[in-house]
Amino acid sequence: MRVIRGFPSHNIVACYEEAPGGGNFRDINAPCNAPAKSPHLHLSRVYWHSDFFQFELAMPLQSRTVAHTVLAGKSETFGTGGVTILQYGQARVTDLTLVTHNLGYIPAYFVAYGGHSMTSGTIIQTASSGLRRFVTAFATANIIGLREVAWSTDVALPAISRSYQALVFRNPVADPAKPLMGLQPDGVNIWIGRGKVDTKKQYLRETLSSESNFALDLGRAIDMRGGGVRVASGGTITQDSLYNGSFAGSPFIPVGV
Amino acid sequence: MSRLRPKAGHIYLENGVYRVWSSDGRPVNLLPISNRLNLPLTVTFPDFQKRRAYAFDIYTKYIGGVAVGTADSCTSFVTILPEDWASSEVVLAALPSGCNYVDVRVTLSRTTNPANRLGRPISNLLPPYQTWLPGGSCFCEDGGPWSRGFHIVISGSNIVLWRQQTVSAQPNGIPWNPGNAVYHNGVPTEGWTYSGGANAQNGHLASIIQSRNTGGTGTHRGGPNACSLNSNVSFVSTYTGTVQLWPGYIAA
Repeated sequence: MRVIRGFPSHNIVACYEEAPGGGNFRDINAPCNAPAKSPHLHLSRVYWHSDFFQFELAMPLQSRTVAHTVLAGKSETFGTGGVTILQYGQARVTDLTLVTHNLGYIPAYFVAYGGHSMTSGTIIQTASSGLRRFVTAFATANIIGLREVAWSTDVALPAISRSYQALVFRNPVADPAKPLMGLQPDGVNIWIGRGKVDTKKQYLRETLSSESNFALDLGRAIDMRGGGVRVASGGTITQDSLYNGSFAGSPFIPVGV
Repeated sequence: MSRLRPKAGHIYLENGVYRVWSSDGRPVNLLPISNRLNLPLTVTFPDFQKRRAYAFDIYTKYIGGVAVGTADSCTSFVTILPEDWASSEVVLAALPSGCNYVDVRVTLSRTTNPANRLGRPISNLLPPYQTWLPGGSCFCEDGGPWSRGFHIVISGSNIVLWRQQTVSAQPNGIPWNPGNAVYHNGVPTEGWTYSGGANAQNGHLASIIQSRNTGGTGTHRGGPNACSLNSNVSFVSTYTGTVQLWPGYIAA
């Protein structure tokens, strides 16, 4: 049976499938309540538990469009005294600010691009003969940033705009002054787990079919073959001109807030 | 008005406008913070298989616009061979029983840089700040003809690290002398030759060892003024820092 129960003496609220063995449903020590008492031993039965980390949004979902700038083409000779090599192109590394959060600590965060979680070295632009641009998201105590690495050839890498969605999370801490589960003074919203869940806030969860979402990869999303790289994330495949493998990606689930 | 209610056999927590969570769309469940691991992490990529290339050029000398004879010059190179390499798995931690998911975040700096490729530094795709790795994968280095990355994933009952590096198998475009010949009819012949072991003709130019242009002769391979083929250049790269592993459960 699917239940949600609170056990004030243990400061626990949990939503779970009862374990076999029955017992008094008010008693946390009853076999049926084992997922509440020892959630780490019954993870597949637990839908939500006040002891777990809550991915609570610290600010509304942040959508940003970044204008990635042009990188000029380049031709130069390399070497002295004997054979000289004509080299095309140049590389540029730039760290950009995507979101300023100023939380004062490094938060848990997700960044989505193209409807899926953004891996390290996500390919956001490719063109012929080696033109390419990669980005990697990162977090500091004040910002969510993007490291952009761009390559031109003898021709310029064109400027391009790309859109990202950033979710910045805090870890809510239980407030002993709040009820284990109850209506807030506003008479509209609910607290659960002494404020660890507050229905005024938003939390990362698996989405239903009608809800907007991005894909969260459950296994590796990158492969390297033939000198190149393929990113297979959330069912979307991008690769550079050298990659010669067939990596199909890993399972993923839709998540959102 | 927020409410906690049954709906179609499930338990829903709603705030009147949207669904906070429900048992048919549960939260992303990570174990309590006390189960989060912060571990030191070092990721090293080995050197590539290296060979040699030698370029020899004969040119006409001019003084005051008058041809006065010939001279020659050389450049010797380290080349790197095509490869697709993957390491074995290294166990970082045991996966807690019942977990099927691990949130991976790394904070790494590249503490050993690979040698420049033909004079150009190799870009580091990985910033020295905390970086979330969805699925555990990290593409960290693009060297032109090569790519490097690593994966931190679940393998059986463990959380493991394994690495990949790959060098392009595409033709290098170097016009090697027919038969890899240094001489033709006993005379040093200009052009490109390769050496250093099997498959050397497939190597990609990676680093100049020496260039010589003395205004004289004898810079052909094996000649009295030849370019050296000795080099200890290294393309090893190492990333050092920490990894945060946070186990959890996701109902896929």
